[in-house]
Amino acid sequence: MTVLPRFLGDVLLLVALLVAAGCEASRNDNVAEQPQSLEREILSGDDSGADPEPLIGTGTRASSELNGSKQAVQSVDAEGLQEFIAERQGQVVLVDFWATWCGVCREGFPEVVKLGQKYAGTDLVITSVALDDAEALPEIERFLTEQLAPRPAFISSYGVADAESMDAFQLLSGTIPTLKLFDRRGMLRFTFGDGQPFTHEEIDLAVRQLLSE
Amino acid sequence: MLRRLLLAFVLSLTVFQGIEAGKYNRVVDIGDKPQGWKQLPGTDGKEHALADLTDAKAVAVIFTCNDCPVAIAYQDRIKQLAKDYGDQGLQVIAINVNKGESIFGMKLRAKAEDFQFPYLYDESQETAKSYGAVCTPHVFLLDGKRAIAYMGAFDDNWQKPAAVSKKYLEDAVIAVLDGKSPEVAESKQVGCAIRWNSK
Repeated sequence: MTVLPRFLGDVLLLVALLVAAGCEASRNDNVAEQPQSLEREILSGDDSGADPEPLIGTGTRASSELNGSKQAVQSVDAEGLQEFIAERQGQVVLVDFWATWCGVCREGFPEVVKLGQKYAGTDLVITSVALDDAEALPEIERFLTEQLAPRPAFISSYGVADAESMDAFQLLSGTIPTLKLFDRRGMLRFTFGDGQPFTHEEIDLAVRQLLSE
Repeated sequence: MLRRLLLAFVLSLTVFQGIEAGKYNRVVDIGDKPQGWKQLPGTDGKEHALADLTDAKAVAVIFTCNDCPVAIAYQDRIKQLAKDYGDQGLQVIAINVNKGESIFGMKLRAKAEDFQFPYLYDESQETAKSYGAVCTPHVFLLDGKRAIAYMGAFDDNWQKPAAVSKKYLEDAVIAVLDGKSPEVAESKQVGCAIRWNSK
């Protein structure tokens, strides 16, 4: 009887994450190959109901890549982004697809920065990809600096958002902001946005879950 | 056992959510007939319903807003489309769906831009949801039976009108007005995410 309430807590968390953020197991927008089955993964997961601890990970790169760096915005294509994520095996990676011309993206950006600050020193790596033309680079730099945004940060090598660049980065609905969260194995586990409502609290929950794995 | 059953239930909800209707639309597909709006306020001070458009051979429903640069970039093209095909039976309907906008602001824009088509406010966002709209602009072309004949982007270059190579919506309008099915029935919409009221 003592297990049941804690388990129900788990289920509620799963509902919040899966229904709200969208479950990647049922979609085809993997950057890396999906886990064989999210169901299997969840069913085999820890059901103790304990808060995922510790949040402080073993890696140090996350903190070194947060804020403060004067590292210039780098151009990236879909393959380059995949490599960036693959190189961070063992870390949880959050990618924020945004653009200078996207008001909703700019409004939500500080929340992503806060997330980075909250998890500084953990294995969370946050980066961003601006779907802008190269002419927007000065504005991107100004905005990222003003926001104390996580670095490295990228600009899409495909230029301003269009159907092709959205396809390349597997942004299915063609909309931004969209945030993708990859687990320690580089597997895409959660997508936020992509045409659907989301909250930054949900991203926080998902980050906690992946950091605890 | 109970745990597995509950997890299976949760995952079944998830799988259901993941089912996609159109190639780029989670809710509707080509040929579907969304119920449409029944009572949306317009900048003309009147209430509007899809069912009122009895004479239109085709209806271009464009979910838009007042501030997204992509939506604004299409403003002149939408006006031109309404002008070019209005006499042939096309009715353009622009629907502002964003949270935080107002009919007052919409009236100012409609007047300043001399909109010659209804500009409606979907404050509840129910109409947008029923079409599976996700961004501004997001266009849907309804045929004479009010079935979706085309949905997605207006054309293939939002930033540079002179560089457009595929006039998706206009080509679809021409086809539907000619009693045919559009060659391209769906394209990937590109724009600013709709500002939803809440989850």
